[in-house]
Amino acid sequence: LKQLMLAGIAEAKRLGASYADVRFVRSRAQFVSTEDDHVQRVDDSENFGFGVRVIAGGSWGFSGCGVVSEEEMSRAVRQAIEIARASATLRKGEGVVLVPEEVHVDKWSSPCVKNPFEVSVADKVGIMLKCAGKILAVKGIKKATSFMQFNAVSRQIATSEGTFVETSYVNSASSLQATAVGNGDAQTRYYAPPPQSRGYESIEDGRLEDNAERIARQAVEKINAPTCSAGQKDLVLDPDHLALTIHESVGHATELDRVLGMEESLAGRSFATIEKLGDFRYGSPIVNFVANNTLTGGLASTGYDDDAVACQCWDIIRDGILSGYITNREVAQAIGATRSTGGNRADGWWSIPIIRQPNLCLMPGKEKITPEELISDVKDGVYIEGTGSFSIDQMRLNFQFGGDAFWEIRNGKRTRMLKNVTYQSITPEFWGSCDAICDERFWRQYGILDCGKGDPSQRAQMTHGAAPARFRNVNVGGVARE
Amino acid sequence: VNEQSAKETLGRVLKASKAEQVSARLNMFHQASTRYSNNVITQNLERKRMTLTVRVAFGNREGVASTGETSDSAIAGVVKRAEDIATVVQPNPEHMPPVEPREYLKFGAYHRATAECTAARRAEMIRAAASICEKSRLSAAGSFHTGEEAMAVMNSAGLFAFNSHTNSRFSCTAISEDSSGKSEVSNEDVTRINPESIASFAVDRAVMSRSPREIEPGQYTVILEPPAVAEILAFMMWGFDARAAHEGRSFMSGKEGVKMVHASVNIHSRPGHEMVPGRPFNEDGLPCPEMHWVRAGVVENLHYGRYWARKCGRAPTGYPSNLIMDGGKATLDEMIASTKRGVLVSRFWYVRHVDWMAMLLTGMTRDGTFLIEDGRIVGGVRNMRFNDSPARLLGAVEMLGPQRRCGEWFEMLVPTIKASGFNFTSKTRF
Repeated sequence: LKQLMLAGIAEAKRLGASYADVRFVRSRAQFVSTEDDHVQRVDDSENFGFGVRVIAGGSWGFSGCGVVSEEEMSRAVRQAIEIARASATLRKGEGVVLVPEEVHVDKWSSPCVKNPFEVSVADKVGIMLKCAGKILAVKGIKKATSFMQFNAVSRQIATSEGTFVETSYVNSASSLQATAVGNGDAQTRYYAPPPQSRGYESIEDGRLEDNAERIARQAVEKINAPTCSAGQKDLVLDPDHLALTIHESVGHATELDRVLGMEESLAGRSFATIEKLGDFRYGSPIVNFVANNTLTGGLASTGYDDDAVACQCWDIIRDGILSGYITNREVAQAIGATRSTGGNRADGWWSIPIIRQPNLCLMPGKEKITPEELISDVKDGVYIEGTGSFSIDQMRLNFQFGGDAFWEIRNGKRTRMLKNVTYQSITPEFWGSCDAICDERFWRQYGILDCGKGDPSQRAQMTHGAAPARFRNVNVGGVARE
Repeated sequence: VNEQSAKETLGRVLKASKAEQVSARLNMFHQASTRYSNNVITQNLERKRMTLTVRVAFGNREGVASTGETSDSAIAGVVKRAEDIATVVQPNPEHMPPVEPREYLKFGAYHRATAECTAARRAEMIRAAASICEKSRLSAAGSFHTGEEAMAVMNSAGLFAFNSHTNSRFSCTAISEDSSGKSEVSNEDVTRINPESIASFAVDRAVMSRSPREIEPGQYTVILEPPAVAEILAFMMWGFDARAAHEGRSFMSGKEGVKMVHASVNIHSRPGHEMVPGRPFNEDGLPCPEMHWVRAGVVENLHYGRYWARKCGRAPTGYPSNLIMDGGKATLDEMIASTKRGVLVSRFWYVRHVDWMAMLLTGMTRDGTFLIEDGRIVGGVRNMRFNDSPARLLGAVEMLGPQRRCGEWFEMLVPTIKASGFNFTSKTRF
């Protein structure tokens, strides 16, 4: 393949490209799901193809093709050049300029002890049905569902600058869900071990069977729980809930393509504009966000991004101040950066790379503090676990989140479950209200499996780590069905 | 890929399998897409992709596998992966045999001009839209997609189905320092896309909504334009699953045959609709439905999958490929003139379920939200978040206006709606 890739690059240069890369991707995915006491779907998919990306006339062109041959490579290169020339008819100024990246010749792979594609489907379904049995045995449960999904991706990227990198990774994820029905209501509760860039061992570590009965009992408890009253309350948020709040209010807001208006027509822009860099108070002084694409097991830890920039670790928010963005080689210069942070990723050979969130983590508090101590200083609040409803405006300011499980906090104690809880805030006000974060003993990684962005839409995965954190006087409830 | 070559490929799949039941499907895409922002093209691509999906069953043990290749060795490989799964996996008591041969509607949704639209032509049309924005000192952003798709299904029960269609979609958002307006048009025939009129609409809305004032959240009479209606209607229609309703897990539980919304509301699907053509069949070969979901405010049908339909002793409905909500005779001007105090919403953004059992949704207004007082628009307002139910809203309909084709999730033809008591719950800073 390397010869075919180099031939494609040579032809692109001969046709006038100032830059070209060829990316081959082979991917395999397996999805296994159950519904109640039976298997629902087992789907094993694979695909293979390549994308050619060129800069010609100062503009991008891209062609993706699922047929691998010399003829198709040549056709794709010519098409990419023709597309770039068409793009250039609307060019302003000098067009696309890439910040430098050293030449890499390297191989990288994610840790994988147990290849999930070598584990029998019957064994996977067997575990899931045992969990379903435990869930359905709980009185009041009407529905039990579960899934496991695995992705294995190997890429080869060659660039006209001389880089040639080969990378591979395996992602594993699973989830159980229990739904209770009664009193004219239905409530669900789920358990999902952190999805990780690891093999089947991460599913085993997730101990699905040990959590099945617990979530079923909580689903039943939830259906009989009172609806949360509306008002200003303190929140204590679990890491597996914070993952999505971080993702929507910090991750997307600091993607530099959005900040520059390049996503305006679909996903929107960001309030965190570049004149705020280094100066804007995004959160309280204890709030630190670090992007880390070298995190072991992180879903965005891919060795290199699709610009063939090596994965890195950098600050996004330091001591509450906006300190960095997620960039690629094209937009990095807009903030005066001399190197991309390596955020350009595509969801397959057929897609052009776009800026994607890294493994973005809320760093643990520096003082020793336990979740119980966070709760002990709350008079009227809610503890939230898991992901529920989510919505945020196109500038990433006004958001509203639900959750999966809620417990009332009264006079320093976590008490009964609640249901139908939402909270709404404005991003910098919310992170500014964060007054305590548990220490590193309680820091855990969760992740997003299905982040949609781009037009045409692409999917990406990334990890978000956090420790339980407390937020004061947040607008809670007020939208319940009553 | 044409019908004959698809038939030949799928025939090879059926021959290659030893399974008792085999269904094979080919999906082929050729897509061209140009994206622009700040008045320049920022992304531009073309791609071809093919997926061959094979579903096999031994008794009620099923396996599904797919590949992107159609050589004999690739077919042998994908069949083996599907059969390997079906050989070892636990049985599925809800397994359904392949769909028996059916008759399908024939309607023309393939246009050569769309399939052959070049990058140069896309750039030209984007330039036309961007220049209109620039003339009004507005920044332009959007995308222009053209493409062709084909799907073929063959199974061991003797079914063969083939359909191909083209599609094009042009969007333009015009942006000022403190406002924006958007327009988007989809059509199978790219020659029906007029970038100048799309951009002009976006510019008008951006200019009209400049210097937005802040109003307090609360309950307002609203006039929702078709893109706003389409967004929330899609979320309601996802709740029309019969199984979830019968199992008590949905807002639709107990609502089959019951009047749920205002008597003026009719929602239906018709694949061959001339203004918003759907698809003739689903991925399993079952015909896409032509039926009413809501007629005169009454829930007439829910969506029945094949297994649940068999269990309930009725025919499956198939999954809708388009949605049409009937409009009314009121014009937008008449709706505005009849409103003492209200809000005109051009579109919604980031709509999500809050409470499935109450069909409660949340979302934001976007790209042109206006205050109406004493029968006229008095200016733009800052965007607001709503928490409300589309079923409640459709029960509070006061006027229905002309339909427009739109929809991010489904192909839809929906009207402008005037309704009372819409619940805005918070505001944002722009």
